[in-house]
Amino acid sequence: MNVPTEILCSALEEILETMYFCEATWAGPGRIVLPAIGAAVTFSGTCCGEFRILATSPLATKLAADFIVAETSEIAESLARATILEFANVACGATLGAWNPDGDFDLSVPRLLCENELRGGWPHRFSIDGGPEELGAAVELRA
Amino acid sequence: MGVLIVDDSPVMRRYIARTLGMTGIGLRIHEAANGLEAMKTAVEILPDLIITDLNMPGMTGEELVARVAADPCLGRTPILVLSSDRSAARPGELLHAGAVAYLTKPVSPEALRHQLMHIMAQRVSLHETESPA
Repeated sequence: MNVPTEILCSALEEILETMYFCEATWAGPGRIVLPAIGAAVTFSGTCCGEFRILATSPLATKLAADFIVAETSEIAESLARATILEFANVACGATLGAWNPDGDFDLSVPRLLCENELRGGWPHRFSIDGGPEELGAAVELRA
Repeated sequence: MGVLIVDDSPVMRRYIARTLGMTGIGLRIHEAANGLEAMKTAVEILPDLIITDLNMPGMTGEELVARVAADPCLGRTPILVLSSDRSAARPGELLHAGAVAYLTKPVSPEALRHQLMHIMAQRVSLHETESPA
């Protein structure tokens, strides 16, 4: 059982458009060029699993700047990390809600991915505003 | 009018504060990173509105709503829940516990400001009803 790609795409597109004022385009599976910032949210309830997001460091900085309406030069790395943590939280809730509207889920507090979790391929990558693939996403459902 | 924003994400607190600041109403914005911090701040400042996340370390938003509702000084403070939790039953549970509205993230600046204005209008109307003629 997997969350359909179109549901994940729709959820991420909605979030990026509503809160970060940019457009995402699905670009298939593959790697994301490091350095990057990643975050994960585990969920339980109707079903259990983990939701992961990865953004290149420049994209994380851009998202943070767009989110709080600041210049990218004003964004410290801690603020970029906080932005990706919040993005993972919102994206997880939006994806699960769209996939299973009658479901009941408990979400964990988001955590940052460690260095070795950032490497490897991602099942879903997105280009932002027509640029290169800078955002990765994965949903892992557990039995 | 004092607004207490409760969210463990510093960027989310800034997003909400900035969005509310654009109403031009001249709100006094206060912030807390979890429910426990929020209760301490709330009893000091007696806010006119609390906007809270649910999923926070320490005291969660659910506990905060219940505590505020049960507090003799804060019990009538309107609480707007702003959460990424889209579980079907959650809004009903929170509204039953004492929240006045439940918005899910992502929330647009327009939707958040619209909800704020709606709650403020209700509060003004309530004050007018209760004030002696």
